[in-house]
Amino acid sequence: MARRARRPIADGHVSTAAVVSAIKESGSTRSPLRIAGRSTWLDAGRPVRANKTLSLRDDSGVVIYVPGDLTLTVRAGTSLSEIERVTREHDQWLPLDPYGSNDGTIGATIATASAGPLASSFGLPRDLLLGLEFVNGRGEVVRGGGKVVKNVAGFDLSRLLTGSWGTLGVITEVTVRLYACPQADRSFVIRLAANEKESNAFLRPFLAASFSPYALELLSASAAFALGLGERAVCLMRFGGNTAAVDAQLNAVSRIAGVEEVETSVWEALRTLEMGSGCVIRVTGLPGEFRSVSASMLMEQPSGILNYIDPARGVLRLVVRAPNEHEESKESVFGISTDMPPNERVVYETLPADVWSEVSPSVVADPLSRGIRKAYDPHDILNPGILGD
Amino acid sequence: MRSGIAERLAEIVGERHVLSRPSELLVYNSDGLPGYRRQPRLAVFPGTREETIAVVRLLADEGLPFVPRGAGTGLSGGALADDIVVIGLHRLKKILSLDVENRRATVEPGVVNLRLNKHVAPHGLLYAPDPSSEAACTIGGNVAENAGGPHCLKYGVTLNHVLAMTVVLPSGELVELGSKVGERDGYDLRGAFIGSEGCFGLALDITVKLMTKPQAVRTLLADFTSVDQAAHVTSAIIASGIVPAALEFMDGPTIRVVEDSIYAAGYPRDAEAILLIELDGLEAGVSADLEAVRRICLDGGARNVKVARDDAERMKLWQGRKKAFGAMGRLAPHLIVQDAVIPRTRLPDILATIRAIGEKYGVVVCNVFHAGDGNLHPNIAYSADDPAESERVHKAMTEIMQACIDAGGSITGEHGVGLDKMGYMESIFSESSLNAMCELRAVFDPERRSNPGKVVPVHACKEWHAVPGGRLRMDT
Amino acid sequence: MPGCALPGTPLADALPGINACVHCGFCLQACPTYLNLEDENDSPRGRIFLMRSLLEGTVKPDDPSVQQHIDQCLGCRACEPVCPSGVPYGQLLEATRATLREYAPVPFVARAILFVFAREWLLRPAMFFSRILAATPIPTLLSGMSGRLGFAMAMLASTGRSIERSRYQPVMRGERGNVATLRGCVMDGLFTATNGATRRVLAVNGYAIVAAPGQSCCGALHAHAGDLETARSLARRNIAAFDRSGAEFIAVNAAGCGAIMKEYGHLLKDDPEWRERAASTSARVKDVSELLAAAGPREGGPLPIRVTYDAPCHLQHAQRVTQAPLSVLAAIPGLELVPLHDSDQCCGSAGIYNLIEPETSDAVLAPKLANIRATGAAWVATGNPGCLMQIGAGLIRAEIPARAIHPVDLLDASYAAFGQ
Ligand SMILES: Cc1cc2nc3c(=O)[nH]c(=O)nc-3n(C[C@H](O)[C@H](O)[C@H](O)COP(=O)(O)OP(=O)(O)OC[C@H]3O[C@@H](n4cnc5c(N)ncnc54)[C@H](O)[C@@H]3O)c2cc1C
Ligand code: SF4
Ligand code: SF4
Repeated sequence: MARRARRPIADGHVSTAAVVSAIKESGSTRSPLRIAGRSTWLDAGRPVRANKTLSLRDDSGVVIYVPGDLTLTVRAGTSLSEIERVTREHDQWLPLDPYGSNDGTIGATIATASAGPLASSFGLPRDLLLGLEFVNGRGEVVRGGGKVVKNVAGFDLSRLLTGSWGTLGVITEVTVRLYACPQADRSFVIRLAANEKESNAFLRPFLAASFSPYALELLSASAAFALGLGERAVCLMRFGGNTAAVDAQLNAVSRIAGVEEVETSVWEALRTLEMGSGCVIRVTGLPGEFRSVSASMLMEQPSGILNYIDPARGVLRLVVRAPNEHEESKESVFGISTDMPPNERVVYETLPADVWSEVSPSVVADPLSRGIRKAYDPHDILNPGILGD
Repeated sequence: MRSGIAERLAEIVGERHVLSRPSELLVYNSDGLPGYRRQPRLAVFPGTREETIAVVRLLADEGLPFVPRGAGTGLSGGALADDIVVIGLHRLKKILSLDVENRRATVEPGVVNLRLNKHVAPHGLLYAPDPSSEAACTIGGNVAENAGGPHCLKYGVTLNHVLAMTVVLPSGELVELGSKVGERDGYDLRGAFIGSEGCFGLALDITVKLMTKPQAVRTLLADFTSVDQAAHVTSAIIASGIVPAALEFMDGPTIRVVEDSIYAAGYPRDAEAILLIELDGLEAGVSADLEAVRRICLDGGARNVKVARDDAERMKLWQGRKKAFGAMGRLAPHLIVQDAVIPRTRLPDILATIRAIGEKYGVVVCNVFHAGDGNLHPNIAYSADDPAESERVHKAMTEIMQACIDAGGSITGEHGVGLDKMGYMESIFSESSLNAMCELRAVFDPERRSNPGKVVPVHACKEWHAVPGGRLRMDT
Repeated sequence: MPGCALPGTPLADALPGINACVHCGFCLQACPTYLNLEDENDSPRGRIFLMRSLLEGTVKPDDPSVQQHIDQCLGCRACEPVCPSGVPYGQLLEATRATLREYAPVPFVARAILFVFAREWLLRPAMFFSRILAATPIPTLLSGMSGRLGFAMAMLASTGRSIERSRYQPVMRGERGNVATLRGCVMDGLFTATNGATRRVLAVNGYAIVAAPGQSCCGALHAHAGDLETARSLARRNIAAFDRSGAEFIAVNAAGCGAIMKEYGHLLKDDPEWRERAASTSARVKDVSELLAAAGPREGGPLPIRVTYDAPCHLQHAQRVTQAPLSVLAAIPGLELVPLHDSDQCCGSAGIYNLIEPETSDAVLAPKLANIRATGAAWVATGNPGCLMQIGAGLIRAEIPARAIHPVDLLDASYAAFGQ
């Protein structure tokens, strides 16, 4: 049968059935589980009340990959680097580049809705995800969405699970949309002026101009320095597409500012800069707000703090590097929180454990979220506490 | 004695905006797929946000079931149910705000899709999801169905363009889902609501993302003497990695009905298939892609590849495509339309299978669809007054759907499940998956009063056998 | 359909047209009554559904709400050119009204008007009286009154406000062929000057005017109200009169009349004796702007005025004539044409609709007036007497400093300014 032939080797040792039995067992003994992918990012999120870990590390591999369909179904424990390797063979890629390392799993990326610089042009995980399989807190196997690029059959469980941090179910399989690798994919930096006024005068019109980069991040001087890009704040850009389009954009940019080409690997270096830091916060807002305040945010830098701004997506990422500078991180956390009024705009990714309850007790306290959690994990065994529940 | 529901609704919205005579309710018994008819008991048309909330609260107090309705262009029998209260949202048609700098707009649910686009166009902006019904359907209906359209191939469907909304839950409570100003932590309840087909409550105001108009747009018309060639070319374009803004397919019979209509677009009448392909982006990039696509078409056997000369010609080519379903009325009085999605490499063989099934049952299956997404719309014009023909048509459609499901596809890409596709739900989802959907719904609508009897067959919901759904108790 | 509840009626004959409706909803946003009344029963799709339901027997022809929704239709036919399925809505409406007539009498005002229009001997004195009245300040004085009478007076007042022009005598060369003009009841009665202008501008553009005595009211008002029999007998009179004249073209300067005359063929399709003559007459009927556009039209003398154009429904939707009136205006040097937002929307006149459904008519007119005000134009050109009066009256009552005028009058004034 045609279907068979397209279903190769899932080389994992753990299967959906194994996840089911682990959850059923935990359910019957009421012993909560810490859900883990490859454990590259376990310090993220609030502390979890669990003493057992369910790892999906070994449940990896491609389930269905027909390159002509530009879709890929993999087991949830498959790492992003493995996906990159498999798809690259067919000159395709998954343009999903969450901060952190490429060793992380696709399951965890979806579960935490993690994204990176490419999100402003290719979308967030919710936009790239087509369907998934998960096991809920009663040990039932549930599928949401499908394996084709467009689908509205049934209520959208895929979106519901995306960003649920494992609390509604353990994701075991994922289908995502792929893209063909671009003909050209080049990265450039523009060095910003050292003073706020000058760089503001450059940035405002520059950011409002109609380029369509794959990614554009404004990096504070500290971040630029850490990446070996000099001692001043920079604008880091990535242009992709057919050669003609990339050249045209590059020409347009060069007319406005001095640009210098850098290796595309700079993006991976940027994404891993924050690994091991004790505190990562995202402030989100309207693109326009970022356009007008970027310069000042890039200039004022307390030591040990890196920040990157994606003005198109409207995200400022703040990384406090020194893990022992609790006091300072706390200060900047609260500083930011009060600066930016409605706190729904501040998303905490990693914080010192004791700070959590003060800044963000729960993000699922509303009746709908509580109801859904109760329905999907009635015994409260999936990552309890991670969202403040 | 307490006055009847109709009177109390009239106190909220004004007498003119409540219908209770059966003869006036008739036109609310169907949507864009008039094969399904369900007779409502009352219809109420609130004119403001406050009135809408008051209506929902009154119905909640009385435990009465209701169904939201936009423009009634749905193609799955969604906005109808027997014995319920229809809440028509078409009077809520204000564009509440437009933020040009941040490219977003907030609209009431009854705003017609095309009106929003006309409103933002002078600012060089556009709202990307463009269902073919854009001239009639509402943004609220788009959200409820997660509507797509030709340009969703590159830009994504409604889901990818809605940032936030205010929802009135069936209990009358208001909740804000998503965020107008940024990205929010916690469960993606906005994502869960989009595509909930009116079963989770009513979308009251909706904040959408807008896009800047692309610098360059080129529309190509490639025509073929065989359906098979056009199908292979579609797969080849997708596999090439070029992402056209749109890639639409129309077969011979469809071309000819359109050419007979007022929307005649100048498609070659003797072609067996055409592809309408749009490329957009930066001028330089588009020209390069245009050449590549033209090559693929010609290599794949296209007789002709024509590029629209100007905007007027582009519009004409598009109008023909967008009005194609409507034009089907020229063939026969009734139309059955399906909405299956298949993996894009399977297009040639599924189209061949569809043709074979049509021949087997002696019916003409027309195909006009979003080829780039693999989203098929096989449709058959027939006369429901002829029982023998009806039966053949329905058998053929069932077989076509089965072939799409077997190919690893989905039963609906954009029209929603509604009543029409409920019967197929169990063939693509397991019992526990359906149950998980029921549980999600139960959180939004524990009493099952909002659009009862849709999407998930009731018997698939474990908990629900025991709980009685809301029943209409009328004092009128 | 499994069993027809109203066999042998005009509506039953219209079933194929009803069946063509696939319920797609594309017509909803084009329909002025739907946009204003906000109920699908008052939309084309809804009304067609009611028609279908009448035939299915799920609603009864004497149901007052059905009658109301059918009555509330403006007959503007804006729903036709947007319909991909080609539903002949205008014909369906006439068939429905003809069928429903048996069950509900036409309202008194409408009946009285229709009675007068069908009878030459009553119509002439009535129009004469109106014209006399229009020439006095009385209508203007009374136009501020509320209600139907006030509006009627404003309509009359508006007919007395055409453009000043001197007289000129066109040279009749006639190289483009013989033309007979439809006098029309309202045009003849209240817009006599426009009829004169029509003949002059046609002559300037190379048409030879021939007389067609014996013509009558075109029958449009009767057909729209469902009185198909009277409409047919009026049609036969006109066909005979125009046949006798030997004209190659029949020029009509009232869009509503032109629309029905172009459909005489359909109206008399079941009359074996008249069928073919009717079809050939219909083929010769042209809106005056079509004939002028075919000839250029010739450029006139300068008229430095600001004008906006409103498309009459029966020209735009029923006859599908859109460019010709604009080319008439384009032949006038110095004339500044300001586009009118939503110029394709109905003004709410719709024959005698404004007199029998005044509220809806007002609601439909309001946005039109606002759009006109926004153009800052001093003149609103539109080629239909109903629209001229409806818009003209609205302008007076809303105190907007603009006047409604037939495009032909403007062209005539331009030729006059040139000394022809
Ligand atoms: C000719 C034609 C072409 C079409 N082409 C496309 C296409 O290309 N792509 C596509 O996706 N669809 C298409 N459709 C289907 C249809 O137009 C869409 O599903 C559209 O989104 C429905 O909008 P509506 O306002 O008409 O909703 P309705 O039909 O009125 O309602 C649809 C559903 O939404 C619910 N609903 C409506 N408003 C709200 C609200 N405010 N809050 C909560 N629930 C609500 C209703 O209860 C119902 O279940 C087409 C339809 C036609 C007739
Ligand atoms: S546009 Fe035509 S086919 Fe569509 S609903 Fe209206 S009348 Fe019917
Ligand atoms: S004729 Fe005019 S008023 Fe009547 S249904 Fe059509 S668009 Fe509406």
